Amino acid sequence: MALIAPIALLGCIGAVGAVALNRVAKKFYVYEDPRIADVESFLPSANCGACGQKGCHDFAVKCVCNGSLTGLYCPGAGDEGMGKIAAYLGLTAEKGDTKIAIVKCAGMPATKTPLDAKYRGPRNCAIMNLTVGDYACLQSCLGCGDCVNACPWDAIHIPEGETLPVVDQTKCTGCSQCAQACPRNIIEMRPTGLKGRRVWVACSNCQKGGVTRKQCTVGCIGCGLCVKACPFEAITVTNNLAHIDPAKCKTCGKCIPVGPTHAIQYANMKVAPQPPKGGASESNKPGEKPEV
Amino acid sequence: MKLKTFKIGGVHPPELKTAPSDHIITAPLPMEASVLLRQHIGAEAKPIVKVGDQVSRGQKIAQAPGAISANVHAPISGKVKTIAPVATLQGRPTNAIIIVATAEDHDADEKARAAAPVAKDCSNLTAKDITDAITEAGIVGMGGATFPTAVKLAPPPGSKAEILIINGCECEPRLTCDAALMRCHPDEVMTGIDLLRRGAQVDRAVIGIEDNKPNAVAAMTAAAKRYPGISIQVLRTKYPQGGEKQLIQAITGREVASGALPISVGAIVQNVATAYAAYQAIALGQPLIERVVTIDTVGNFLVAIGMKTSAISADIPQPTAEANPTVAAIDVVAGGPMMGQSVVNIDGPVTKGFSGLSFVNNPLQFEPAPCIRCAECVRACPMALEPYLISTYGRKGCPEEAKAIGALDCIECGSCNFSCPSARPILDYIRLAKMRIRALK
Repeated sequence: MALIAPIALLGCIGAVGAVALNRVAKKFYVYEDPRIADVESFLPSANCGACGQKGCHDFAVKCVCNGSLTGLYCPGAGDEGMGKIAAYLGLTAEKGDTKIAIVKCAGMPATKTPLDAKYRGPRNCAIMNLTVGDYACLQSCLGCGDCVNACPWDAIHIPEGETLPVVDQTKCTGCSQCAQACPRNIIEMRPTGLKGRRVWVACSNCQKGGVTRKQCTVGCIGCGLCVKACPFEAITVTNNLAHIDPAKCKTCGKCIPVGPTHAIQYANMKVAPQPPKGGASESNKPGEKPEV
Repeated sequence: MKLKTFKIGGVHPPELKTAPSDHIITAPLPMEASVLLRQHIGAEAKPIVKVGDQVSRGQKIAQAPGAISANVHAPISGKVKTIAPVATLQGRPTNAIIIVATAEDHDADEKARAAAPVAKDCSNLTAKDITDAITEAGIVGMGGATFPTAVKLAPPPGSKAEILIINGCECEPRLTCDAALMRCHPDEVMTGIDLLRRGAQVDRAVIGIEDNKPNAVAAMTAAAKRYPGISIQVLRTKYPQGGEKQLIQAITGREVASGALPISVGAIVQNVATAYAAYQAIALGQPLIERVVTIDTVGNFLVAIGMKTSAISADIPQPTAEANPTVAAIDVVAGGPMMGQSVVNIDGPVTKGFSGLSFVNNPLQFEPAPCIRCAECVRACPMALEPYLISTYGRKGCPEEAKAIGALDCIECGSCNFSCPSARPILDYIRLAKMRIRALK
């Protein structure tokens, strides 16, 4: 008998609360287009920000509410995912300007000049960059893997026993999280190119040629031979560092063998083997770098 | 009677002050000197000599472009070889004027250095004379922060300095260069303090010395008898007593607010080495071209600014590049072991703010264990911050949150690192947080 009163009381409070909640939920109900949730299910949910929106939900809202897909492209979903979204919404998707991360450094411990003392602090690139790091080159990869930690796609790794990160081109979506995480800004987002062919200068050292030579054997010394070799005027040398303009580059591969330090790297191309010139380094043979 | 000290936080690292402070060895002048153009906080000095010019010892070779900067003088006579970047002790290339002496230049310099100049009578100089002479001589705070001294002496309009605090604490383990100055040149330091006091137009000056330096206390007490406005305050040894805000708190009991300058509580803090430099500049007419540095376990040396650090003494070990933690590595640190930075280029030049080299055996290898929330760092922090939280914000990349809990008040004393039982690199992550906060603007 003593139990009935509290049970009844609690039951009443519960019932009143349920009614109140129900009323409030109806009163303050916000209609959300059910298509938004469906579009979101086509997206990778990585919230990487590569599309320029605040996250996957925001992107889905824009897709549904804008009425067209102009200017909306999710590199994570790719052309296939965008096609699905377009088919679902009855719109047409733009072809994506897909990009991929490249590492503008080829320095290995064997090629770089070490400093007198070794860095002993935490293994974190951003902290290591507060000091000079382990090597004389102040624009080289620090090798602590801030880019690896930043990647939402598991697309960039430092292989066991190596110091340079390697981009997995099947997984990289071009979201540029790694480029933002790199404290030395040596990761560039580059157009994937026709059939995935691309050519880039794997060095960020802006020092004069002689200084670069002392710091690393595979650095770009700004000799300008590649500029002369390029038939399309795609290469410029600024601050003693060559840069290949992806818009002009036709991936002919003529610049690859000419430089004395072989600082130019490439992917998904066949380049006729050239007789190595003096100073060619073993670790930077064209085609040697695994990109798969 | 219980001695005074600062109230909040602090740690007691082993002192290890093995370099004898009873004498100062005069290191020979170098044949080549690399004089950095930025040895101070603020803008880089502009060179006023050209490559190939003959300069004499003590001649001004670079001019401060603004107020927050300092003149740079030639430490040796000779020809200007180049004006080019030189790697500092930390390995960063910094613009420098490189002077090369011939044998005749060198002999003449050494002769001039050995002949003790007669001290001028400074009793009728005005405050403006003193601050002008300090500006001209390129004197900066020699405790390590290298803030131009003359700027500190002239308080901003609307504020009035009441007390000049002279920092003779030398709370950093292993260093004894300030103690050596106070023991070997007490009268000169005292004259310098008197000049600084008159330059800042304050009546009272207090010299704070920790109680682990009884000889320095005795020497300074004897020298202070001639000056009625100057007194000695013996302080209970605790790190980081030499921090500006900590010292003000220990001596006056006043706390400097977050983000405020010491002048807001009416105090000006200067180092004893700065006072000695002021004496040399005004009484002897010698600008800041020499300083006393400690070489850990070896001794204290009077060296020319710009000389190669490795040339100071033959007993300096090479920094080891060995990464293997089982090998007993020696870490060479510029400054003391608490706040100093590892040396990567032992041939880097001596600068105005360089206080010495420490040799740390078996340096800490970072195998950090997880934070156990023991709050030892909170207890140790002399700025009453929460180091573990700021370091987490630094690690996770949340600069706004770190700023909100006062990350910019951190003085980077390293007490949190020292006290952490998990050997976490707390300070490194706080530095990262501070860097990211500055990048926000």
